[in-house]
Amino acid sequence: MTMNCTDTKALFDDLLDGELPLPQTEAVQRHLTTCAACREVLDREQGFRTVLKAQEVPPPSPGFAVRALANAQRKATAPRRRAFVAGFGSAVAAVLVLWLGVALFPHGASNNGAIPTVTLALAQPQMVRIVFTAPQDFPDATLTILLPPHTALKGYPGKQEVVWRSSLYKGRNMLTLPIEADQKPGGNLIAKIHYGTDTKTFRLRLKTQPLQQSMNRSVAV
Amino acid sequence: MGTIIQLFSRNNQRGFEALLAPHVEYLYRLAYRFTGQRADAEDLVQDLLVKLYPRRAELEHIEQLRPWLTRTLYHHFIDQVRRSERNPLHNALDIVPELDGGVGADPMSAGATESGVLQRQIATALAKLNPDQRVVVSLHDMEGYTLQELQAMLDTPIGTLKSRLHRARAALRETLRMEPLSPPERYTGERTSS
Repeated sequence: MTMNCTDTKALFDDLLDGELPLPQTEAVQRHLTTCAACREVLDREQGFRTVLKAQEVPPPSPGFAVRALANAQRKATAPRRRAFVAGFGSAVAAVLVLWLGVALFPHGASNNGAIPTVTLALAQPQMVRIVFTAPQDFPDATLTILLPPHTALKGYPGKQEVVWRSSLYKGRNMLTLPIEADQKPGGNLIAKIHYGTDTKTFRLRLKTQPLQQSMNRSVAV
Repeated sequence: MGTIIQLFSRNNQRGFEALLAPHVEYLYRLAYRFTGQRADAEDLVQDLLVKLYPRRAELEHIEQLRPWLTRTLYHHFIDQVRRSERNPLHNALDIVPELDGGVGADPMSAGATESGVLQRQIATALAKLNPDQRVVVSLHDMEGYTLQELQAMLDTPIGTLKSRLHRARAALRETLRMEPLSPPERYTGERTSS
């Protein structure tokens, strides 16, 4: 069997996958002995697969396996969130006003999929504004804020999880959170929007720096 | 009575943990390859474990738990992607954080090594694949499962798997500009203008 370059290259996937029958494998090898161009293509394809195989996976967050297994039982048997949300009715109204009141504020660029980061001054409440851009109205959505360790939401002492019912409106919706860090935060702030049967999760990395540096940066900007 | 129930619950939890603990890191690794984000991978695995907990009695009778878990994670991932695509909330854009006083989001620190750049390019290219393509590339090209193993594991015909792989690789090459069927000048070593 004599093969040209096009036929040969079409079989490279099967060859490298070990799926090519012996007669065709031999025909490909015969072609390769006389065709430097196809050998180069095959080398490049092998290199491509080597790079794919070497693609690194970052380790999960510390203690993830233990935490996830323990959470499985707790979450599988926990009562539904709706009942918990109802207890925060008074907070809903207060924050809803704030949220909608600042909805027209301008904001910066998209974070392109990376976890966005803000740097807080230590031991000083700072207003962190979060803009949710919605493609349409989401009436009666539920917003959950989970704070990382060593941070607090002013007005909610001792609470690391705060839940509100509110509506997202088409366009920009801004949430302003007065956050204080008493030391380096132990993780990300997580914002979850529940709507219907689905949930969208956003993460925000909180970093800290000494007060003086933070003030200097604010002035410089 | 309460003590007996607590004991029963604790034994259930221990049995569940003993059964699944050896597989959690593996599931996370697969989930990361599927989703491309650590946080999303952790969420995917956590959701899966929550769904599996009520089925712990069934799990004890599964002889080959790892392939079964792989298939279950795959279905869970695909279900999650399709469910979110149907929900308009899926299209809500990412958050944009700001600090009062004008301190904005920090730029990502760039680990500018060559391999780091390539890793990020591949991650970006993988993210552009459709979920089924991403799964088969992850399991076959990255994790090293054979097509025969994947046929049984994912309950998908080999022809379909091959087709997904072929298209996925073509899309990856295109994104990474490593197309082996590109114009002849590349084969002869001449540089294309760029």
